[in-house]
Amino acid sequence: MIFFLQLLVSGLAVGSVYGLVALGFVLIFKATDVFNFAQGDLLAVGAYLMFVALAVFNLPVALAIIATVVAAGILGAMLQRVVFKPLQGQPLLTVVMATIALSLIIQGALVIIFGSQDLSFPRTLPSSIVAIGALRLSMLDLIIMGCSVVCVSAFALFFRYTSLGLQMRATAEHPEAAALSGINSDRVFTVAFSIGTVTAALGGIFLGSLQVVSPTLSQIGLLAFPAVVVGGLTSIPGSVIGGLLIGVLQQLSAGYFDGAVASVVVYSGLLLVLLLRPQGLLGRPSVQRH
Amino acid sequence: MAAIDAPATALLSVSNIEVAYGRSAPALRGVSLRLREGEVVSLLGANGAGKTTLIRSISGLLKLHSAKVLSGQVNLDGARIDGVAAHHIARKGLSQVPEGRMIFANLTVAEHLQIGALSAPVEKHEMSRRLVLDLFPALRPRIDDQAGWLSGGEQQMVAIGRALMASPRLMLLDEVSLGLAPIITRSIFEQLDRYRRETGCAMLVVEQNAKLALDFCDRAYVLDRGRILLEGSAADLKADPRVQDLYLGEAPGEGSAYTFRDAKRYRRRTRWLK
Ligand SMILES: Nc1ncnc2c1ncn2[C@@H]1O[C@H](COP(=O)(O)OP(=O)(O)OP(=O)(O)O)[C@@H](O)[C@H]1O
Ligand SMILES: [Mg+2]
Repeated sequence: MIFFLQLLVSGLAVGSVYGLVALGFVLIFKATDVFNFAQGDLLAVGAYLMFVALAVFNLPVALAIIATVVAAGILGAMLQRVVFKPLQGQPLLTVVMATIALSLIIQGALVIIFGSQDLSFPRTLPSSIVAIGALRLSMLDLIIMGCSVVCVSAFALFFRYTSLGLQMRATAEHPEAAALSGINSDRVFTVAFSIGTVTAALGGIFLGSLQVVSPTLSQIGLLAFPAVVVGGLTSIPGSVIGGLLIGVLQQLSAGYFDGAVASVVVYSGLLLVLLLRPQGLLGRPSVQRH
Repeated sequence: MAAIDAPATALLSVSNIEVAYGRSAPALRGVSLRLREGEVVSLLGANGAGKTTLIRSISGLLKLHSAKVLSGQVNLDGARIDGVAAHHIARKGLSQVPEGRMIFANLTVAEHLQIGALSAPVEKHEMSRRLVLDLFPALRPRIDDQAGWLSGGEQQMVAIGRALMASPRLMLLDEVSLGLAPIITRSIFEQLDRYRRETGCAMLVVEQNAKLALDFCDRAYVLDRGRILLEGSAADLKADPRVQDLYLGEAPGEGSAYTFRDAKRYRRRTRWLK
């Protein structure tokens, strides 16, 4: 039972990170129609940016996180301007190919710059062990869970209550009508890419703290995809719940069996959801009368 | 041409434009149109005549449909707007009730009004909101509902309300009556008329129901296969035998919509006319 609870907590911690990354992915997809296969690589970039901030610039942890977030935001905006804006209006598949190319470019560039060995953050978030009765929990897991919850809630409030959030939802739903109301879609797309890249980078910081910083983070970041699909491609709460499910499933099966079993379980789960509910758990056909 | 279309004297002037989608044959060929401050002008024509294309050329939506103005120009308040992005034009005081309503299905009615208000100064928001709910009281109880679940007529009210929230100087309305019961159409036009009297907003109205449009407007243009066929005051056009024959003579009665069969008959007749 104790073992189960410990696995559950670490599953929720990793899962909340997947949820956060998936949120960024869904946001980009909803707002700009770009199905971004490079999301996992942006996560890896975030981890390396954090590493540079800590190891090269010697920043304290809090400042390093802020610097990483700012840099990721700028990177996202640049990607939109340089890569995706010119591709606007192209078929989905063309854009997907572009994101795959981007993904491979980023992976290669990271290996060229940092090598392929594992790095770890010289300083990191507190990682002591908290004992609650017989239950021993990692402080790091709890902090990461807390941070992810705060980030997801902050983004949810942003979409719900700010004017820019409203403009993003409107553009995602009907770009033409949004333009007629004076909404600058370029600006909205740029913000979407910025936020999407920031969530990926935060995911990179958290996963880099939990594990190591290496180019394989790109692949781990791919676990955000099942989260997205399980949650329904366009549902933000769905992507977060999907992330938590995937995280818990992964940790439980890795704990009781091993890592290989974990991927079989996670992806079988994904396939099962797709077969039973192709629109995802919370995804729904959009309401639209014509 | 220059004399008729002197941009400085008109709120909106479209001068001799030719518009084509992609590489296909032009959808508009040498169309000119003028609209003064506060004036209500309607645009009549059969399906495919190019009415929506003309509206798009004014509101800056051509690019989204891979079309562009090949020659001629569009001026709003004397400034050229052909080639300007739609969101910039919207912020110059032009708003549109687009063909097919284009509501945001998952957004609430209140959020539609908020979005409509984006291009108006903040101090006008509260007043416009009151005005819209006053014109369309049916929206009051639905204000926090998702627009996708409203009836067609209510959705049209939302689309109009969204456009009104911008406190526009010029409003483009593309087939407001499409798919609505005659009684709802009539009430919507009554409210538009009231709004126009209260605010002096100019309107360019595309309408299949010619009688309704000619009763509502000051002047009208008839568009046929990409060209202006007729133009004149509402009274002149109502009396014009060609318009009577094409639109009014056989109209089955007040408030009825223009049907597909009418459109086909219209096409045959215009060909025969030439
Ligand atoms: N998005 C588009 N892409 C390519 N061609 C188009 C597009 N929209 C309209 N057209 C073409 O332009 C011409 C004029 O169409 P338009 O929609 O302006 O007509 P309309 O007068 O608004 O007709 P309706 O009464 O049916 O709305 C048509 O021949 C149509 O095929
Ligand atoms: Mg039309």
